[in-house]
Amino acid sequence: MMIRGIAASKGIAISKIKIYKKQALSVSDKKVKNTTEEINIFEHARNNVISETESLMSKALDDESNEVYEIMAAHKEILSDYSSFVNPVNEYISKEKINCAYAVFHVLSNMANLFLSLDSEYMRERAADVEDIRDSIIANIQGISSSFTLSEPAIIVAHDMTPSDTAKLDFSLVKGMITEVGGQTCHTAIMARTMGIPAVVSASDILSHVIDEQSIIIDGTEGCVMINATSENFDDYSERINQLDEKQKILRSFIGKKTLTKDSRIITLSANIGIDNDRNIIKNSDAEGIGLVRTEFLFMQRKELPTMNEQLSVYKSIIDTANGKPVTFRTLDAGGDKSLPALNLKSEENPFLGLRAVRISLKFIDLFKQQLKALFIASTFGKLRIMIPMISSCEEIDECMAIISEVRKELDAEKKEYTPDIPIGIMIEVPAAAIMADVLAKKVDFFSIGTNDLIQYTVAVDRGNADIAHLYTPFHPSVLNLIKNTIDRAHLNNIPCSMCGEAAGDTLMIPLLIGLGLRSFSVSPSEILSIRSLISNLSYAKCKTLAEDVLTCSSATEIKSRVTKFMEDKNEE
Amino acid sequence: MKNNTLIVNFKEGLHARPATKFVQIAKDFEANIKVITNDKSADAKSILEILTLGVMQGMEIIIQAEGADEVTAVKQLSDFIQTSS
Repeated sequence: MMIRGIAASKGIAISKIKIYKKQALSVSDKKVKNTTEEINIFEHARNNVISETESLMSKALDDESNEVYEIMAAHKEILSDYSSFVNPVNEYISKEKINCAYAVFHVLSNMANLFLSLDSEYMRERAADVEDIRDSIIANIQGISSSFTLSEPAIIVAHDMTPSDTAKLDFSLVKGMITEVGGQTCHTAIMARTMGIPAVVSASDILSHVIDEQSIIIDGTEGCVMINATSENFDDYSERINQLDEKQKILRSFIGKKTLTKDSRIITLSANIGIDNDRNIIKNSDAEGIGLVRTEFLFMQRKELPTMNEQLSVYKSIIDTANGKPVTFRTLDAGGDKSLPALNLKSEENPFLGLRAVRISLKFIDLFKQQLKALFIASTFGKLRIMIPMISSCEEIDECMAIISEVRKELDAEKKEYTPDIPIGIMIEVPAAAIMADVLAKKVDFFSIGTNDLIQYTVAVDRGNADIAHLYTPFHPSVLNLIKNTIDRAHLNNIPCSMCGEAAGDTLMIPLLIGLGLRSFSVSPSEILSIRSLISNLSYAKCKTLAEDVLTCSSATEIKSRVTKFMEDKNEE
Repeated sequence: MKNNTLIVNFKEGLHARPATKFVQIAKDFEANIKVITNDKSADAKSILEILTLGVMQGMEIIIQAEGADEVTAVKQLSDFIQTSS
């Protein structure tokens, strides 16, 4: 039997289960005479829970689990919140002459309900924190010690797990976590992800189908749980676990290594990111830089545009994240499918052929200047490059360069510091630009090929339209010819050329791109290690022959099948 | 009294992690400090009040302080909101 839930943390495990049950708490209201004593009991219990929380904080530090540490730090702060917690409890005890356990129950339950009424899922999940603190204090007052411990490896199955009980777990024994409730941002999900343990949440009603010690399969990647699995299921999953382990082991061996082909051609592998990211993105992905920052996310979904200072603080934090590695910021790339409510743009018949990307920047010059200023000032904090999207003509580059030199003059006048020789490059994503790459290359410091738009404009296909999506392919000979021309012209003019579109992460495109001479790829952070591993198995010389070979093909189908065969032959070598 | 209006850029809004830090900074000041949104106001030294404001990414807040150290209080809290998203 298979139970589906939300895939909360990737990975597969087979193990016995241990059911987690929270002790039922019963609190009744009792009138008391000596309210001072109740207040003292509450104070004592509160201090006990604070010390427990502090020890969980240091355990989290030992486990190197930042998220757990931060959640526990928030708990400690709540426990010390006089105006909304401690004082109201004391006042309630004195006013109602009531036992302290009930007063805690009353105050914190109301608080939890307030959280449950909030708009964001994340904030609603925080009700669990308040209830957890409530129950820990009440248990402490009543002298109940709730302890859930694991003595052997197990998958934990629970209706819901309190944050503090989760923080107490010995994670070396936890093989997986399953809860009946919760979403992507519940504690179980957050903690499982930090600890790299598979987790499925919202697995409804699973507790009525399992018993303690039963062996089950958890697939946190797919978000499902298999109970009463057959021996074939077990064999199948064991095999998959072994394969994954083996693959992980290989990938880990590439951490910290250079990206090299078999015949030692050096390739640069960077990451594409948005504006709010994991602060450890470089460490976690092992990227060699950030090849694309999509700054449009700072401008979208809001009524007012970000100020220069707000932009500066965001750009600075991204540069800090990169730890001294190069960061390429793409200027505002909105319009098309990315709307900008703050600019109140007219809706268009053909948004992809309309006012978008650099065209918006050149129409709203103040907006463009403000972004350039923020980027220039941010340049003093690290290695920054500026990239302009959707250039289709020389005039646009000239206009951009004129605005950039005005920005420089203004900054000089304001006596603001910036790096004088920031590389300014363009995205090649319009066929017009790819065709005249030779001319454009003389005007800029670098190219980055954006394949998603380049393909859709070249073959005139909206891949969002299911009826024609099959016509959208990076293997189309015309697309490959444009890519080849762009790379060749960049190199003839001695400027670097990279690629940041989805094709850069396509395992069949990579050998072709390397063969076409591309030396810099920017891909999703999670793909860095697997692509580095893939490239280590490719020979540049052979890829070059392959590329020359497929350029004579007349169809995408033929090209794709030649590359597929190339990769198969290579694996058999 | 000292005021400053700014936009919150934390991914999940002013959530547990930044709110904890924010309250810890606020507690270092003598001044009475408030965080004001569209329709609510909270004591900057109370994490529960701050969290129940439900401040989400992109929302505008006003930091308002009154007391001897109001100027530094508003400055430090604003810097925190702007630089550590």
